Amino acid sequence: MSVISAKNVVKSFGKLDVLKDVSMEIEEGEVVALIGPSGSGKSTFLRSLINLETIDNGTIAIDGQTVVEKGVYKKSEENRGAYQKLGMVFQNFNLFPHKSVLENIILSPMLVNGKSRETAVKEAEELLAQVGLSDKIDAYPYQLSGGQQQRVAIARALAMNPKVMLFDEPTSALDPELTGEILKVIRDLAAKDMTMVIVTHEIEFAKNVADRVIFMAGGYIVEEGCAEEIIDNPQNERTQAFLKGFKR
Amino acid sequence: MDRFQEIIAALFEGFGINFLLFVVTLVVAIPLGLIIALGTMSSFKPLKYIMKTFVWIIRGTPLMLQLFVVFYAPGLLWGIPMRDRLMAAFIAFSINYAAYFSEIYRGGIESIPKGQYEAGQVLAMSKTQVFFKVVLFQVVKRIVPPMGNEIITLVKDTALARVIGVVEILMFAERFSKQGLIWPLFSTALYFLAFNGILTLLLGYVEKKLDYYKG
Ligand SMILES: Nc1ncnc2c1ncn2[C@@H]1O[C@H](COP(=O)(O)OP(=O)(O)O)[C@@H](O)[C@H]1O
Ligand SMILES: [Mg+2]
Repeated sequence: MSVISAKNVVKSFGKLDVLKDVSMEIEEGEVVALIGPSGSGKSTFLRSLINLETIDNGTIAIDGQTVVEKGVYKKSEENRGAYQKLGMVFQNFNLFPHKSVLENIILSPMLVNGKSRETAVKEAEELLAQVGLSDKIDAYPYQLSGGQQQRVAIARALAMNPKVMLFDEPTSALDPELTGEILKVIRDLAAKDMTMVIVTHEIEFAKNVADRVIFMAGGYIVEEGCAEEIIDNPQNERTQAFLKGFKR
Repeated sequence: MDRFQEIIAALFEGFGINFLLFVVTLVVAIPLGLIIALGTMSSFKPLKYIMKTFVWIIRGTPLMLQLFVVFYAPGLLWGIPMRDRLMAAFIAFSINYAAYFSEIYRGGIESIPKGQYEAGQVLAMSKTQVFFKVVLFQVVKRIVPPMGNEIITLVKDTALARVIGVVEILMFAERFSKQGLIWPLFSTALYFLAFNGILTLLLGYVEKKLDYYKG
């Protein structure tokens, strides 16, 4: 069974049709890279999965639970549990500036999941070790580099124990020399069989880490398949043209 | 010397009224302003426009006029004269300052980036949790400086209550100058300066406390 199943998703902003008919199945343990030109609807699709955007039509099921069927949403209380299975990392980190690294991570586990402070702190410490930031536990976001902030954001998302992690261009706001540390964290997660959907312009990284690459353009999925196949030998001419822009 | 002490005591008593008006206005207007701010940001259009019009009227007319309206309207319109002048001042000041505060709150709330709400939502927080645990504190930090300005202005505005006959410090001071004394006017100034001095220090302290993070 797929952890994420999206069928015929349609979404527009006013007159602008952003997602015209997008279907996607994500299997447990799979790492999927979503690539495509800017404005093709990648972020909108990812945001639709986690309820940051409301779709106009289509069906989305998360871990077997249908949250929206043919454009009709189930009651929000019923959907809460399903959305909780997804974690999201944003391009701009969106850390809470008034909270320390530790507080950023433990806030939701305590508030939403009712964990004791002790448990939450212990888990946060483990996650910080995992992303290599144990020494920054008491720092505030403004004291960290972009790469460090993004690693905290990843730890914060992981603290909610998601089944699937969604990444929306996690390295795009970073200086080139800082992207490596984020990619390493994602690679580590892949090695632990975390299911991930990653919107990225790091083509080489997508090829190395993703099991599957999906190329989107103009609100449609134009081409998809095994990562190496798509990146080294694209069949569709739009994919070819897009990838040419990344010629190494 | 007796006369001196008597005047200082009278001024002190008068300033007590200004102080009381100041405290009551803050205690009422700080929460009332938040309610009005939430009203002006409501997605329920009729409420939003009623609240916005209300704020526009209050901010667009003199506080002195509002004092007259609150004091005279009950008597002239419904035949139940407002006997308690100080109560009229409490009401007019609270409403007036709540309207000003609401605009500061609204500006503060709207200045918080959308990403903060989204981060809270994807971490499974409810809207209420996001507001109280993520947004509110950041808003507080941003509004302390403009609120400080309004609060200092309020201290001076309390003197306006005399137009509806509230016996506050300026009324005493004027009474003494009519008897030929100039210095009570300066003593009055000292009361205001001292009080605003203390408030400025206090507000500076709060700002400093909130300055543990940037952004
Ligand atoms: N909230 C919004 N309101 C209006 N238009 C939007 C909104 N979000 C995205 N868009 C538009 O939708 C299109 C697709 O955007 P997006 O999903 O962000 O593309 P991508 O992530 O592939 O670059 C763009 O033209 C963008 O301007
Ligand atoms: Mg995008």
